[in-house]
Amino acid sequence: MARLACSPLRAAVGVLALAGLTVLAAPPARALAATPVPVLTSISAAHYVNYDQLIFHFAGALPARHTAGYVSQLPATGPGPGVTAAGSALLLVTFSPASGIDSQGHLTYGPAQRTYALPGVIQVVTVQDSQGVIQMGVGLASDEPYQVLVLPHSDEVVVKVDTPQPTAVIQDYFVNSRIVFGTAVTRPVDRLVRQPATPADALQRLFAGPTQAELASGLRFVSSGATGITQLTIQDGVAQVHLAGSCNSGGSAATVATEIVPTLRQFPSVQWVKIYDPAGDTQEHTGDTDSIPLCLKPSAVDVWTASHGGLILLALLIVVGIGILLGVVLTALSLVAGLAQRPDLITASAYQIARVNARPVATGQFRPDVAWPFYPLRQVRADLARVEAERRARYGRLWKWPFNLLVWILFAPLSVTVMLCLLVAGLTTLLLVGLFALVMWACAGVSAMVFGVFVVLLRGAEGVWHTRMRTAASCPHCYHITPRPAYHCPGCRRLHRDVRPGRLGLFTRRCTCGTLLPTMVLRAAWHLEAVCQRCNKPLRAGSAALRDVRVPIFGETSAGKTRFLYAGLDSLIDTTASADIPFGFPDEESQDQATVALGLIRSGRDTVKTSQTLPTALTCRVGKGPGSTLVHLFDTAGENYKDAQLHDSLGYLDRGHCLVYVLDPFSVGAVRDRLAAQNGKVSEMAHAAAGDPEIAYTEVVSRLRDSGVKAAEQRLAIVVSKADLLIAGGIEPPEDSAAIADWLSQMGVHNLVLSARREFSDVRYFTVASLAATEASRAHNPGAPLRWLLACLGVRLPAEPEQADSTRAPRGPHRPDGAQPAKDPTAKAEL
Amino acid sequence: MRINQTPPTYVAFRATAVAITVLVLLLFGLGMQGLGPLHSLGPATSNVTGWLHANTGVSNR
Repeated sequence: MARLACSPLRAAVGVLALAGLTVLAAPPARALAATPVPVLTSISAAHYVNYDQLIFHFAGALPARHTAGYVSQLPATGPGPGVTAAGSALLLVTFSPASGIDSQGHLTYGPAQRTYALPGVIQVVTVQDSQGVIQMGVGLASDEPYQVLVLPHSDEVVVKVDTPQPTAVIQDYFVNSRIVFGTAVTRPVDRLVRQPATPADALQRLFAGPTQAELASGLRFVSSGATGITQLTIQDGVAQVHLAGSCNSGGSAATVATEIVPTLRQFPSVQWVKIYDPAGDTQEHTGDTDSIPLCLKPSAVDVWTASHGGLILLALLIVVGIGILLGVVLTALSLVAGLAQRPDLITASAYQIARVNARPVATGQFRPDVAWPFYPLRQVRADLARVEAERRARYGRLWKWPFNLLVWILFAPLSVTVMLCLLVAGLTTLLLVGLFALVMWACAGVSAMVFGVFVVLLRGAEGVWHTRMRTAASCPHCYHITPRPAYHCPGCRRLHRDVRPGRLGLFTRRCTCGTLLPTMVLRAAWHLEAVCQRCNKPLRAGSAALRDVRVPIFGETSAGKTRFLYAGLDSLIDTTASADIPFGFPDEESQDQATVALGLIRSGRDTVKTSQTLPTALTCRVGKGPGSTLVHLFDTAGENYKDAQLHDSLGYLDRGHCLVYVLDPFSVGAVRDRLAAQNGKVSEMAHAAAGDPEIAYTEVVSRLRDSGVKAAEQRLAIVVSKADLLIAGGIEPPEDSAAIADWLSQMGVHNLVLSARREFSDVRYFTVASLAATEASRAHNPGAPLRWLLACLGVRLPAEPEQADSTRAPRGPHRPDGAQPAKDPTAKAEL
Repeated sequence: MRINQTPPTYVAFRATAVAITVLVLLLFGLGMQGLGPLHSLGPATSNVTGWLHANTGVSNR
């Protein structure tokens, strides 16, 4: 059973092993298919003692077969006549398989015909390079013995051709293609030949053409249609050369005769050279003179050009040089005049007009500010236009010389020269000004891109600052609120209404008077005088750069709003002083207002009745540095809430962050009744508000609702004032917010309590004394509502001033010792 | 008088543009001599000057 079970397994293993061996042993079919054909990469030749060596270099491997042999003529590979190689003997070398053509059809080994300056090897030509066979024809000086060798471990096939005779150096003259003008158009090159050197050898090498290096140096063989010579005889110093093929000079002064004559004259036996065309004609058959056939005679123009062309070219060079110099000077003068002396300046006013014309100012909009624009925006075009105008004007003036057409005609050669010079100068100025314009636009483009990125970054940074810090510019006069106020230029008092990074400047802008103004509101707030965008009245210092808190205080006439405001302010000053928080007034108006009113409060006297004119905010600054807060306190007469027109003017109500409603408890009927029963004198002292306490509240809430203000997102502090008088009258008002609400409901103002709870997001009740904060009235501190509101808005203050500094001496008439505080908090803070 | 009104940034821009233009011309000139970042212009210039020298005898050396 075990053997039976093992048999299939053994068979499977055997099959797998056999398959593996088969795979390992099998020839790599793909490798065979991809065996590369040897590629001929280069051909080189050199002369050594007694032999010339011709080397064929292959890449990859050597051709499997290579043969060589003398032939009478090179085989033709196509229907036409085959190629031939210069030389007295032809050696045909064959390689197979081999290729000399790359995938793009180019020869991999260089030119198909190349000449060598060697005594044996004269020329190598490609006979065939197709179907895996390369045939090279080698033109030799004579049919000397040769060897074909393959060096071990080498990719080269070497053909050695014996050169047993000693060698001599002769010269062949080829046309220098770099010389267009002048008579010396040929240049001699050396050729090694067998001794003795003969004129026939020289002509044979001449018709073989220049070597590769000579071709690179500009030498060319001009055949004039001749393919060789049929006969060369030298007799009595006269060499007679009969050309083969055809004969045509093509009008050129450089012909095959130009090369043959000096080549033959190097031999002492040759004094004169007579060249015959294939038909056997020449111009001077006899006589001691050189002669060429008519077919090689150059045209008169060519002869003249050959003799005078160089001079003309030199003159042209001088004229062109003067023209270029003139163009450079003209360009420099135009640049100086256009950019420095008479620039077309796009002034601030002109730029403003251009902007208004481009985009007319709509009703309710302000005209663009008058400041110098960013250079690339407009001035680049103006500068380039000015430079071009200067260039044209200067260049045009040059053309007016010598002012008279007749003079131009009379002095035609001079005029033509001057015209050429001016044309070159004009072209030069065009090129230079064009280059300058290109550079200007490139600079402008790059700087505009960088500028734009910075504008976005700076505006974004300022926007983030505004959002995070809740900064704004509140006008204390017209209650207009804007993120960016207008600023007066300190130099000319001109108003700049759109101060921000932009086309008028990145970090600073230059007013039309030349004064530099900061463009960031965060800097402008401290260096410039800010004014309201709407009423043009001055704003508080630091507006739009600091956190802006607006606290409207409203209530019935004689409700105690003003006393609460200043008593609360007094408490706030104490709070900040005890916590060592800087406090002050950013403007003299607020400073004076606070000084007078706080004096009254601290002395226990009555405050002056609030004027019915629209209130100017009392602004104080809490904190130091950029993190401080401007607190605007708005107080208006209670009568204003009843006057429909004035009520509409109380715009600050709509823009407050929170509201303070002051409720006079003595205007509540239930309270009055209780006091009348207990102490009627107190009621007289309270100067109770005459109206219903719910009326002013209802008016304000209705106004907020009508104005679209979301009261549900606002906080409301309901302040029950005159708590000290309530206590004096025998009524102890509660201190807790909920208890106060309940107490008010019990006193009959439950509608107000219910409405406030329904309308506002957060409602807090306070009972405050109408006096300055004292030890005795600590329980009903008038600063508590303000502290609560400011704390809700992110202004960090200690909860109670007494907790922070319990040793502080009381002030005003309530101080038992009459001592003055350590520092006067009402003094204008140096913030 | 008028140039005094020109903001300094304008003058800086103009001066920079002129300086860059001159620099480009200098680099071009050096390149024709086979020097600097535009040295590839050298061979072409050499051919031209060689041709001019061959035909006129004028040399820049």
